[in-house]
Amino acid sequence: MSVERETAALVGASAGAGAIVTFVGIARASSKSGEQVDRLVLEDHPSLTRQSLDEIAAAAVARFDVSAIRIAHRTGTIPAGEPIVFAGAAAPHRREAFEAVDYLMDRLKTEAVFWKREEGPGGSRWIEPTDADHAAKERW
Amino acid sequence: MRVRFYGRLADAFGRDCHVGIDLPCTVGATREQLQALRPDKDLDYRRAKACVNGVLVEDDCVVHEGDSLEFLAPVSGG
Repeated sequence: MSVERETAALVGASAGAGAIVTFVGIARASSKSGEQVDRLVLEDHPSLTRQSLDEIAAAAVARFDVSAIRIAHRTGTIPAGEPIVFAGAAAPHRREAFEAVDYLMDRLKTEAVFWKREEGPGGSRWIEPTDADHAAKERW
Repeated sequence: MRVRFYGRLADAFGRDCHVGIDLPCTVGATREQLQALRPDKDLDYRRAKACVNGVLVEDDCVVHEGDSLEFLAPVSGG
């Protein structure tokens, strides 16, 4: 995944938009408990992962006044400090663009079909959405 | 029948596991057989969704010869 390429693709699909908002999620170098994390390992499903991303994108298009939505997500081994996910929206006005991207990320964090592990000197640990992630999704 | 696991379920059962069960059978029956193999692991339907031929299904779904059956741990999200 290239953030520059995804941004360019979103801009290219955004004729007439007055606002483009993008978000990039980065693999953190420490876990929530403060342990060192060297990499994330993201597992996906051959069909359900794409379906989940498409469904979330379609829901954002239906809910917000946007002219384009773009989601890109890496899988496999991702070293700490590198981008994991790109989410972007183009809209006539900035408010809808910001809200659409906020919505995309709140749903991606709890519903996207991935299984994530943090790996570091302390070993490997599976990650599940936090209470904060679920609460964020409930805002919508 | 070969069953595939995703997420933390693969740690317990391996990526693929062979279950000695006659087909056709329900997803629920297969779940029970697998649970008996690893009673220490939680295969409850609320924690392990089932997928037949790429589609999420309930436990009353019937699995036939040639179908793919997968169990999915709760997703981590993106």
